[in-house]
Amino acid sequence: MKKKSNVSLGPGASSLILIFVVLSLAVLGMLALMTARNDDRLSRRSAEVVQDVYLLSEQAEEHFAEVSELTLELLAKGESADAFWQTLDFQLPDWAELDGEAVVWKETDGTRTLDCAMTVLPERKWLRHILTSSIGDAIEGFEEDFEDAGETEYTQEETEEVE
Amino acid sequence: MRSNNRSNALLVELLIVVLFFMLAATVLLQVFAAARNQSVEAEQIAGAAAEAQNVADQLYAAQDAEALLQSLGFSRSEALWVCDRVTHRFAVTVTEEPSAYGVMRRQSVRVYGPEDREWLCLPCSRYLEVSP
Repeated sequence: MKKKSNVSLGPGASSLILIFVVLSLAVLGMLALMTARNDDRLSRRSAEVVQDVYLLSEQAEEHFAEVSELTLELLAKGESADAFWQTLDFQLPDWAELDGEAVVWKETDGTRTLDCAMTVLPERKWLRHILTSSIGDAIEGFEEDFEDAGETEYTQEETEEVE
Repeated sequence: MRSNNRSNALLVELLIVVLFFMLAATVLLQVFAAARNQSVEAEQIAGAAAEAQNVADQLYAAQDAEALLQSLGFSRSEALWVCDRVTHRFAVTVTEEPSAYGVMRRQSVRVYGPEDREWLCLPCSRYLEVSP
């Protein structure tokens, strides 16, 4: 004959199980909420960074247009090469300077710096611009963190030649 | 008699446990739902940002902005080019400012979320030189 199993729940056992289950669910819920919040914050921050970089690029394009107009105006005058470089150096705006055969300037928004260079080539051809982006001093500790890596900047080159 | 009392106490306890569990489950379900919603929105923003970057970069490189926008599925609505997605909407503006030796093509890509909240605005203007 089979023995009847006699499992009985003592007083308070169900309460203990409830407390355990509710606590577990509460912990899981909080973890899920924290993860979701962090994901959300990261997505928004990432979107902000993308927007800031595009704003810097926009500023660079504005200044590039200004320098291009000046360069084209001087080229249209048909002066000699020496006269061209002298006049260009003299007429460049304050934020730009001549470095060899390149016009260089910096774009900054406080946390990031975009180093821009427009290389003017002879025969009315010039490289559009070379943009070098480096992390500014405002982000403390960044350079130290990446000291071992040996590189704290990258260069984006646009080699489109304009006739 | 004693056994009967014990069973009654157990039943009352179980009833209280079930009621409390239902209450806790209601609150916790809301927490899980909020977490899920936030997670979904984060994913949408990240996806929209990547897509907006893609559109902005293509616009910057394009010779004919209108043709590109049409090929990307944008439709013109007055001065705006719009493209609706399930979760967000893209709005692109393109204007041209001629200068002495070129044209400044002012372009920006905006992304709007639900209730027309702006998620992102990417300016991607380009100066186009006119060949001498």
